[in-house]
Amino acid sequence: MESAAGCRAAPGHYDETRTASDPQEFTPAWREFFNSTEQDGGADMDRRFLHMQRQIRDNGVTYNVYADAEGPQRPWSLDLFPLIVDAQDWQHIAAGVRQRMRLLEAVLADVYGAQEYLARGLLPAALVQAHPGYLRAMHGVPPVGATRLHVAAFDLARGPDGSWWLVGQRCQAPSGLGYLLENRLAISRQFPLAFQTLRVQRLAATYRCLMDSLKANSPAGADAHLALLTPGPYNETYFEHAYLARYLGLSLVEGGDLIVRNERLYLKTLKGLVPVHGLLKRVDDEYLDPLELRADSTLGVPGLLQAVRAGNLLVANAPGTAFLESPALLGFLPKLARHILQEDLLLPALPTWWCGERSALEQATQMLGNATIKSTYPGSAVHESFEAVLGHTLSPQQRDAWAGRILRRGEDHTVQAYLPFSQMPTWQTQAPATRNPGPGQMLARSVMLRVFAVSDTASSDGAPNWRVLPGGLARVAAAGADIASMQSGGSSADVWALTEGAVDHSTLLPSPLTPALLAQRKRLVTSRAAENLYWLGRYTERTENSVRLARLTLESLGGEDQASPTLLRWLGNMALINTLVQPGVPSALQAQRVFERSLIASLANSDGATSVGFNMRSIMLSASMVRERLSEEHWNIIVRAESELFARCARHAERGEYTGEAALRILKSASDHLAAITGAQTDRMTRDDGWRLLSIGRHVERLVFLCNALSSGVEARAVFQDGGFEGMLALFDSTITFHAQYQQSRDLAAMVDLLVLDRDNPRSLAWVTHTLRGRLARLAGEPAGVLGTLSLSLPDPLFWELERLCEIPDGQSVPPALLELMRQLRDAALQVSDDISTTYFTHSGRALFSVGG
Amino acid sequence: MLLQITHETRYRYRPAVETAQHMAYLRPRSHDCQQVLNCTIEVEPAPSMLREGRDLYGNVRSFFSLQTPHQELRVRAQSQVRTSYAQLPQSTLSWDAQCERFRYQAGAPYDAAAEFVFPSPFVPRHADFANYARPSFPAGVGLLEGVTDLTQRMHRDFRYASQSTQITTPAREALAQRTGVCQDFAHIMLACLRMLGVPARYVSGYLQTQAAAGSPKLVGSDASHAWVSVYLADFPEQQRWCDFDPTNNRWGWHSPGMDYVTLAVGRDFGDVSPLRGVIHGGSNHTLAVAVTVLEMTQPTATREFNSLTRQDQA
Repeated sequence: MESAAGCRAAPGHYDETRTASDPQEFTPAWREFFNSTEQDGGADMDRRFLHMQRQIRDNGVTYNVYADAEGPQRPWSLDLFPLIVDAQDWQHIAAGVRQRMRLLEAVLADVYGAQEYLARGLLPAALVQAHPGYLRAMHGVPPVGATRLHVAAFDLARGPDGSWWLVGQRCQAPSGLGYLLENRLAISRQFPLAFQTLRVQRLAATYRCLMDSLKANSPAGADAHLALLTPGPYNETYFEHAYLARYLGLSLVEGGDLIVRNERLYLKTLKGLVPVHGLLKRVDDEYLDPLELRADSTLGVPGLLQAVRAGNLLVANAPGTAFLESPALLGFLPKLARHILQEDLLLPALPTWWCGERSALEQATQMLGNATIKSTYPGSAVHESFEAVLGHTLSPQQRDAWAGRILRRGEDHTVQAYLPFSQMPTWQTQAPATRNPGPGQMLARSVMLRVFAVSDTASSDGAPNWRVLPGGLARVAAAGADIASMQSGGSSADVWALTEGAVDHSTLLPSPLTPALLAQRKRLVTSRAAENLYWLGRYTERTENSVRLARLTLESLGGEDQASPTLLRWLGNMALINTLVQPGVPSALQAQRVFERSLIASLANSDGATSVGFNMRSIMLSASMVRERLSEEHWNIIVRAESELFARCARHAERGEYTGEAALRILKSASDHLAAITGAQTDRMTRDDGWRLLSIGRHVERLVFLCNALSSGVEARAVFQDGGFEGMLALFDSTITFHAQYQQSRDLAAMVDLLVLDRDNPRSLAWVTHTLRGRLARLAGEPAGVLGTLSLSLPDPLFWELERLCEIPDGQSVPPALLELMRQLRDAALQVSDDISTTYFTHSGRALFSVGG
Repeated sequence: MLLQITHETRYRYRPAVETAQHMAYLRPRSHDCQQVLNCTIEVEPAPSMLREGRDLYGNVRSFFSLQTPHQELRVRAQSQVRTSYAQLPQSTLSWDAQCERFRYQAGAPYDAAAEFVFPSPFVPRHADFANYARPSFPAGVGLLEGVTDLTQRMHRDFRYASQSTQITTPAREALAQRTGVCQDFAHIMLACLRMLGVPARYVSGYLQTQAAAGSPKLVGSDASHAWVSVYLADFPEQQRWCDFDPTNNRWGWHSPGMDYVTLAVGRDFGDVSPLRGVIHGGSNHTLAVAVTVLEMTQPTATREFNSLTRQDQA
C-alpha cells in the first residue's frame, strides 16, 4: 500500500488506480486489491514477481520475436498487476463491443452482397475495393452458418477524462486468446485473495460458448470436427496456437496436413483422410488458398475457398474480413451505425480522418502535431504502407514533409487523434533477466486494452449473437513509450473484469459425450505429426548412440594404456560411419591427436560431420513440430540439453582448452539429459499411434547402429581383444549385465548370447527386433499375435541359434552366420523405414507447385 | 466476322502429378461487338470434379480437379464467336472531369467502375507511370484523345520482344526497359491510367494473325493476347468501355477490332489467367500452348465433348 501510494500516472494521463474526483483516493476496486494483497503475503511483490516469472518460464510461454527457425524464442512478457476494470465500465465496454460486432457483420454482409453502402457513398470504395483484404473470390458467397465474424479483437484505451475509446480492431486472425489465459493462470495465483474478493469474472464459459457456436454453425453441427489452422512453429504466436488447440480440444493443423477433395476438407492422418468441418484460422487470408489467392503460399490448402463456397466448411472468420482492420474505416462507422442499426455507437472510436476525402484531408493536415499518422493499408504490397508515426514526436520540418506526402497520396494516409493513454501500476525490477533481480518498485505505465468478442449461438429470432470475453489482454508500454506492441518491447497484463452479479465458475468441460464425440476425442495423429514423431524417435536414439560412441572413443584415445591398433581401427571406422568426424580426417591409427581434435571439434559443429550437436539439434527441431504432443517437462529438457551442449562446447572452443577430459564432461552431462528425455518419451506419452511411431523410430535406429557396431567390431577382430570386447559391451549399454552374468569371461558365445539373443536385455538385437515387429503390427492395426507384412520383413529371432551364429569355419577368422544376420537385420530395418515413409508419410510432403498464372 | 478459336494447353510432368486442382478462364464473354455461338472445353485425363460459375466481373470461371496420377494434362477450349467493329464514339468528356467523378465525397453517388481505379497486384502505384503518362494528358484534354495518344506513344516507344519478360516481371521493370510482351504493355498502360485516376481494366483474349502473303496459316501460330479497356462515364450504361491495344496501336468501342476475341476482363492478369493450378508432385513440368484463330464462312455444329459442358452457377 505504501509503494502504491507513491505510484502515480504521469501528468496528462488518467490514473487507473484513482478516482476521477479525487487524485488521492484509490478506486474501491484498487483499494480492495491492495488491502487483500496485504492480507495474503504482504507487500512482498518481489517474491510474487519471481514466482510469476518462473511459472511463465516453466510453462514455456513464448513469443517468437523473429519468425524464423534460428530466431530467439523470447519468454512471454507479463506484468505482475492486473488491469482492473470495474463492473460499470465493463458493462459499458461489453455493450459497445457487441454493438460494433453487429455493425461490422452487417457491413461485411453488404460488401460481399449488394454493396448498397458503397453505392450510397456511406463507405468509400477505396476502403473496400482498393484494400487487399477484400477478397473478390468471396463475393456473393453466403456465410457458412449464421455469421462471417466469429472472433474479433478491439483495442481500447482510456483518455485523460477516464472515458474509453476504440483505437483499432482486428478481424482477420486476432491473437491473444491463448496468451490471456496463461496470464490469468499466472496472475490469479499470485493474488488469490484479491481474486476471490473482487468478484473477477471467469473466462471459461466464453471459450465454451465459442466452441458451441462454431459447432452449431458448421455443416456437421454438434459432431463437427474442428481444427485450428496455424502457419506453423515459426510463426511468432505459435505458442498460443498450440496452447489454444489443446485448451479448446481442436486438432492443430498446418496447410500441408489438409487436402480438399470434391469440395470437402480432409485432414491427412495415419488412419487415412478424416473430414474437417470447421477451421479456426490463424493464417492470414491471402495465404489460405494458393489456387485462388496467393499462388506462392505454402501455408494454405488448394481448393479451400471452393469448399467454403460449396457450404461444406466453416472458416472462422470467413475469408475476406481483413479490410475491416483499416484504421480509415473507423471514421465511417458512426454514420453506418445510424444508417444500418439506427443507433449511435456506444463506444466511440478516437476521431479518425481518412485523407482520401478532401474535407477530411484539410482538417487532418491542420492537426498533425496532435495526431497519429497511420497507413490506410498497413502491410499492403501495392500501396505506400508505413509504420504509424506520432505527430508530436516530429520536428516542424518532418511534419511538413508528412503533410506534403499526405496531400499527394491522401487515400494511403489516415490520421487519428492522439490521446495520452491511461496508466496502470506495474512492478519494475532493475534487471529482469537476472535470477535475483533485487528489490523492485511500483511504476505507472501506459496501457491499452484488447478485448475479444466471440460468436454465440443465435438468439431465438435467429439473429446472430456475440459475447464479449469478460477479461482480455492488456498491453503495457515500455517506459516513456506510447504505443504498446509486443514486438517492440512492451509487456502484457492480465485483465480483471469485475461483476456485481454472480461469478460464473463453469469450466470448459464438454457437453455430454455422444459416441461420435467420443470417437473424435481419441487424438488424431496427422501424417505430419507422425513423421516428426518418427524422426524424434530416431534422432533421440541416434544422439544417444553418438554420445556413447564419442565417449568410448575419447576414453580409448586418452586412456592410460595405449589403445591397440585393432581397437583404434574399429572405433575410427565407427566414428566415420556415424559421421562423428569429417570424411577427410586422417584415421586414428595414422594421427591419433589430429583424429581426437577433429572428433572434439565436430561435437557441436556440423560442417561435414553430423555429430552429437547436430543430432541434438535435430531432436529439438522434430520436437518443435509436435510440441502440442509433448509435456512441458519433456520439451524443456530438450531445449536445455541442446542449449547447454552448444554453450559449453562454444565456451571451451573459445578458451582454446578443449581437452578430451572437458569433452567427456560435456558428453556425460548430455548423456544425463538424454536419459531424462528418453524417460519422458517412455513414461509420459500416451501410447497412441503417434507414440508407436516414435518408438518404431527409436528401434529402427538402434537396430541399424548396433548391427553396424557388432559387424564392424567382429570384422576388425576388435571383439577378440579385451579393449574391443569391453567397448562392444559399452556400445550395447550392457556392460553391467554382462559382468553380472559372465564375470570376466571374454567368450564370443557369451557376448553373442547377451547382445544378440537375450530376450530380457532391452539392448539385445533379438529384443529390439521382437519389439519392433510387435509395434509395427499394432500400428498396422493387426490384433495381438498377428504380424502384418511390414513386420514380417524383419527376421524372426525365434530362428536364431547361438551355435550357428558363433561358428567359425576352418580357414576363416570371423563367424559368417553372425555377419550375415547383421547384414539382414540392417537391410530389413532400413527397408522398414522406407516402407513406413511411403505407407504413412507420403501425404505430408509439401511438394506443391503452382502452375500457370 | 465469324471466328473459331482453338486454345490448347499441354502440361507434361516428371514425375507424375498425384493430384491437381485447376482454375480456367477459357470461355469467351459476350459484348456488344461479340456474340459467343458456342464453346466447349475438353480436359484429359477426365477430371474427377468440375464446376463452373460466373465471377464478380461476369466472366465464366471453370474449376476442375484431378485425383489420379497423370503425367500429362491437356486442356482444349474451342469456341466460335461472331465479332463486329464499332468506331470510338464522340465524347466531350475531359479526362480530368471524369477523374473528379471518382474522387470520394461523402454521400455522393458511386460508380461501380471506381474499382478499376485502384492498384492491383500486377498494377502497383508508382510515380514512374504518372510521369510517363503525363504528356498525353494536358489539363482539359478529352479522355479518349488522351488515351489514344498514350496508346500511340506506347506503340512507338516500346519494343515488342517475346520472352523478354515473364509473367512475374513487374510492370515498372518493363516500363524502364521499354520492352516486353502484350501483357506488360497492358499492365503499364493500366498503371499509367490508374495513376491519373482513370478507371481501366485488363482484357484477356485473342487476335487473329495473318499468315505471310501466299503461305497457308499455321495451326497454333496465334497466341493469347491482352489489351486495355477504358471507362467513359458519359456514355449510356453497358456501353462505357472502350478498348485500346498498345501492342498493335488499335482501338475501338467494346473491342479494338473485329479480328479481336475477348475472353475475360479483370483488374489485371491475375484475375483472368487462362489456366492456373496447384499440382501435387510433378516437380518438373513443361508447358506447351497452341492457339489458332481461324476465320470461318459459317458456324459448324460443335462436337460433343466428354467433359465440360456449360452449367452456369451464380
